[in-house]
Amino acid sequence: VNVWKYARAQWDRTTAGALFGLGAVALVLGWIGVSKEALTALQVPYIVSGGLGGIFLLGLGAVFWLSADLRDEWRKLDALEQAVRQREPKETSVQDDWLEPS
Amino acid sequence: VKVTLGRRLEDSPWARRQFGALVGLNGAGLLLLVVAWHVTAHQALLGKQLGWLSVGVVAVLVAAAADVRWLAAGRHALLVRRREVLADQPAVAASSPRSVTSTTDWVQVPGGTRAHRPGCLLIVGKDVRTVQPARLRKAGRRLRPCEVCTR
Repeated sequence: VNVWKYARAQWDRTTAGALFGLGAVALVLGWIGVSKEALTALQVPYIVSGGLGGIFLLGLGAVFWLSADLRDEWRKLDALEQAVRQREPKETSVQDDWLEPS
Repeated sequence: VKVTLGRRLEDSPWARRQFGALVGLNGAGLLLLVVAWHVTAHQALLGKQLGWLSVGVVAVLVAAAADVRWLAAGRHALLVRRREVLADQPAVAASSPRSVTSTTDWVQVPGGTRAHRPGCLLIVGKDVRTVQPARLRKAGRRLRPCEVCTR
């Protein structure tokens, strides 16, 4: 599988994966920062950037991922609707094999 | 009642307006978060930091609300569309089988218990085999006509 091709075709899921990764890194870095500081006043910036920032990125990643699922389903409905509309009924007589006497 | 949401984004259940709201609110949330971080990083007093910490929490909540609204709108649009598309199907399915002339126009999913017309929507994408009329009559006890495509 060509990774680059896959990433371009699935750009929304790739972005979601990147955001999940960034969110996780932000949370870990925030935790490390907080654990290294003894004073609460010095810990708060890490909570805001690492903690809240990480949650923000994870949420955004979830939006990208779930949006990709919804978009896939939308395209599927497009295809289904198109298939239904393309079926043109032919002008012929009614025939029901099932009811034909044997 | 068909809800008009304005111009749609290409290949997606969302309107441009909804996309604008998502980007705008997430951008605002991110901006508030950066400001909250900047202020808390340059503020030595814990009492003053806590106010900006609350601002950061509100920023995340605003972004989360925008995200939830975006996903709910997408889901709703999909449900409406699905209902519309599926509502069209019985009419097509009912008209199509009766207008086919071929005497071999019954198919069966291997192992299945129903015989379908070739255009039946229940067999879309499935491997099917043709059931000849003579065999169909013989198999009448085991096979029954699909209720959807013969309606």
